[in-house]
Amino acid sequence: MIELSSSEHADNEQQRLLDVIWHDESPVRDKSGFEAQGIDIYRRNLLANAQRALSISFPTVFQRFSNYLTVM
Amino acid sequence: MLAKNSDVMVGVGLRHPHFADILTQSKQVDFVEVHSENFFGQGGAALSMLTQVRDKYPVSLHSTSMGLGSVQNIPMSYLERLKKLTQHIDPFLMSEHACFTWGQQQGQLIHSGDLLPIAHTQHNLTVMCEQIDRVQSFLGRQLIIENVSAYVQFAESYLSEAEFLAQLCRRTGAKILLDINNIAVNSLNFEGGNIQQSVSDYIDELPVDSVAQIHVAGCSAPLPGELVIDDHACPVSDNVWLGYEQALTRFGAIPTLIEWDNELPEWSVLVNEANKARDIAHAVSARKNT
Repeated sequence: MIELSSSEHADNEQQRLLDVIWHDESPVRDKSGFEAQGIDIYRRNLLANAQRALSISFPTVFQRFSNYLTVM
Repeated sequence: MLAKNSDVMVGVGLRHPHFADILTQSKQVDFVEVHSENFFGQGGAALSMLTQVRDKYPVSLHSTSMGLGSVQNIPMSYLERLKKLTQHIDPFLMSEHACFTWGQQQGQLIHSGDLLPIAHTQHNLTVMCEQIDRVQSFLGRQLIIENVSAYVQFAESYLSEAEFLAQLCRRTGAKILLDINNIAVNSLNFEGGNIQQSVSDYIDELPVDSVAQIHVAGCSAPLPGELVIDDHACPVSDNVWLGYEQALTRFGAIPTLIEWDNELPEWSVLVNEANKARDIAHAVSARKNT
């Protein structure tokens, strides 16, 4: 990993963006610094990619549970 | 008619449904571009088909998962597979995006599954230069770096993306892959949507000798109030063609690719889009020579 100073670690904007895509339920600009509309696009793409990968690798599992895997 | 030596090379993004078309029909484009990661498997039908295509066309390897802007180092397992493919295909161009893809969740290295934008700062410029130096040294090849479409912006950015890329090239010897549609998407989403002005501002910041490839693509119209999503699912828009003309006027006869990834049309539609690009290039060239 490329070395960062402690202040840069604390404010690593890449990690902040990843965290808000993967975890936060409802990002708001004054909390995460990112617009919810943009974050929603990345979340939907992440889920769509995961569904596609599952349908290719485990088609039977995908068929069985696809009704539960709704796009956010 | 295909490119002569003095003309622009025009290619198309080659996806699996068109393998039979390109191998059985007469030569209608100058090169093809494929996504590197789709051919990382050991052997198999896909690599065999690409090897046959390589015997007929120059191939550009376009990577989408490297994440050159990541603070996390790119895993060696990824680079080793890319190197093996490079040695097998001997591409005439190799490209990636100015984005990050690698990060951590719960202490584990994860891939984001997307081309995530980076803040355009001197710190991130240094990070990305180090990554590019490492990859270019490992592969023994020059990389071409593409501007990305983004759906969020960083308050930390204080350089324009064009200035960031220009400095990146000066420091690493890499070149720029100028995606006109990505400039258009960002213009519509964040800059008020004057695409011609956005393209003009962008290309004016780039050194004339810095661009090695151009991408053009189309995307679906958004619902009212929604952001434009760069889905590569439509013909190239008139605004992007105008931006392409602006770019050729500034940078000259740069190899150009038609990108179409979703809602794939017939092969002939892609060939027609390539012919449109060629017509514009001829017109720009003729205007320059008068």
